[in-house]
Amino acid sequence: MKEGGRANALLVELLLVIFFFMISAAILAQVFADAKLKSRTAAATNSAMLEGQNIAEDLYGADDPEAVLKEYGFTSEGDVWILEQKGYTLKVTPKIEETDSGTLRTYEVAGIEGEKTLITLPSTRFIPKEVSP
Amino acid sequence: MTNSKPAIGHSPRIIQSVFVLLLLSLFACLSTFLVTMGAQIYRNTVDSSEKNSESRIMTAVVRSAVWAEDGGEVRIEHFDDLGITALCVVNNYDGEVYLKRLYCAVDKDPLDGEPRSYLWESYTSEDTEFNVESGETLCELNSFIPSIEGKTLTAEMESKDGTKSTIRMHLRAGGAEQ
Repeated sequence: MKEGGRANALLVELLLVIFFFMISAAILAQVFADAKLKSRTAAATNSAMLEGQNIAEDLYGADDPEAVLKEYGFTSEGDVWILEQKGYTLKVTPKIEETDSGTLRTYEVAGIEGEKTLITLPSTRFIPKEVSP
Repeated sequence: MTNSKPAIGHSPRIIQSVFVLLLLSLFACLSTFLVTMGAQIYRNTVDSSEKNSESRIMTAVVRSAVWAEDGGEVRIEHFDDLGITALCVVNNYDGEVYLKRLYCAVDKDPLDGEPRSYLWESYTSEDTEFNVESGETLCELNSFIPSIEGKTLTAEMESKDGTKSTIRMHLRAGGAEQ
């Protein structure tokens, strides 16, 4: 009787330990999953930033920005240019403003992961009109 | 008859002991799995964060060096005797010409004395002859290959863990020379 009672107590103790262990494990698993997700987002942001800066610079210096975008592999979807990368999507939105003195050319390069915008880089250049002497 | 009684009486206790042992082994397996998985995720996160920060640092150093002095001339210098290709930004202050050079060279690690490849930055007067030691190390880097085509500066870099990054910059105000 005494031995049976001791064994039952041990069993209850073990079950309690396992119960609390399971709760801790569930919380830890959630923390690990969050950490992994954040790490992946950080890597995507870094990659998008490096690639976005290069694209913004190339667009700034290009005479024909659309040719540059096509060379990178962007596809046109209406006014927006899209390029799927590993873990994120690059989106370029052009905005051309004609003024009396010239053209203000703005390309907004954005890195998007799911529905979250990771980075936004504007590349703006003013091209003055040629004035005849 | 007398031998079979204890066997029947002991069987639930044996089952209980086996169950307890099973629970213990389950507990041990789960804790080992959790610790291993946690360690692996932690290692991956740290590695990834280190890789990100390294690539960000090395590209940011080059970009900021060029953007800060883009009013001057930017050129590539080859020091064949030293085996170094340097990105050189020329600054002119009141008639005095200064050169900011970015290059990759080997230096001894201050901690263990082992030779390691670093990105260096030197800032000297134009009259001073180039010397690797005249610069300061910025970050560890395996290779740094700058090139200029038209007004576009391209720098290919490889970090110490082998990650390759390429940066392209359109030189705005200053002239570019190969």
